[in-house]
Amino acid sequence: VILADLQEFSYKEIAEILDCPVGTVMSRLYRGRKLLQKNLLEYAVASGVLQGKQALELGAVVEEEEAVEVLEFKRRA
Amino acid sequence: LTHECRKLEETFLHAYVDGEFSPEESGEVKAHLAECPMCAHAVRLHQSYKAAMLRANATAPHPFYDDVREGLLHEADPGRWARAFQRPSAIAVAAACAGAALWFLAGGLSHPIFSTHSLIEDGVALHARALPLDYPSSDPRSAQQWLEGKLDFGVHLPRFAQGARLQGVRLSNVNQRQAAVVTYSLPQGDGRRVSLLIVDDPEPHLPGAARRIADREVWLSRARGFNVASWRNDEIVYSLISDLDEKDVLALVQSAEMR
Repeated sequence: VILADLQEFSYKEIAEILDCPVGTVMSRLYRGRKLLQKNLLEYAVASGVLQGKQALELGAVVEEEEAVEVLEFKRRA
Repeated sequence: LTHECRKLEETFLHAYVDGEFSPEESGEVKAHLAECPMCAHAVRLHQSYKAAMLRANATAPHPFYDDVREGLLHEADPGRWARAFQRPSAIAVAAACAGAALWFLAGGLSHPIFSTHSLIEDGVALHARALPLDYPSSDPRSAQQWLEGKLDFGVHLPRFAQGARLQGVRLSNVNQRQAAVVTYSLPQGDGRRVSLLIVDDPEPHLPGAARRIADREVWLSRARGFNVASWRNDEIVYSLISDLDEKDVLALVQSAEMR
């Protein structure tokens, strides 16, 4: 996430830096971003930046995405 | 998001917003976005996330990167994977996952990112994005010194007679090879930017039409609206990338002194 979103390297450059395939860069980046967004949301709610309805709505989106992910995982297993 | 669109988000929408696609590929994604409000929303969210990250980065202290890297190194237990792979079931699961991933990548979709890019396309993409410099400098000698030891091949920073001013150097990768991107600005047209891509490319044929200029074989080509002039010096390929007219590119190449 640092390499892609802060230092603005391309997927190919990140693959070189981390010595892994581009596909791995993509999937890790996707997971890392989701995780960061979830943690930022929790932080925003806990610190009172987000309140009430807005927090609930955003929280619902994250929870729904997690639920889909769990289903997906069970389906594959 | 529907299941199909979720897969799409994971593989394509992020890559689309991250600017990894060629114009044609982006066109395909745009066509889908026009008819899928869910994906269009996901793209807007991702764009605002990226913008927020860059805003935050502008104010964050830079040693922050190193702290995170340190933290990750401490957190990652190097023995963890080794132990996990001692269990036969874990190996089977890992093999199945790897197989599934291979199938997905090879047959499931012909992924645009895996198509081979030519030297020119990569170079033009690097030029167009104007990424930050690793070593900003207007002094060719110090830039040359900085580059020595950073690359596994020798470079000669050329001097251009036409008043092209060195801006600095950025290290990069092209076709899995180390590369340096040297940026110059030209006095004409409000400091127009010119990039010189330097890469050790063993491919004997450079792309484009060959010309003989100042005792050098120079290949001219165009990509995405940029003119590219490539030549070889001590095996190393130098490519001048700019939006100048062909005539001005040739004049610049002609004036390049490789010492």
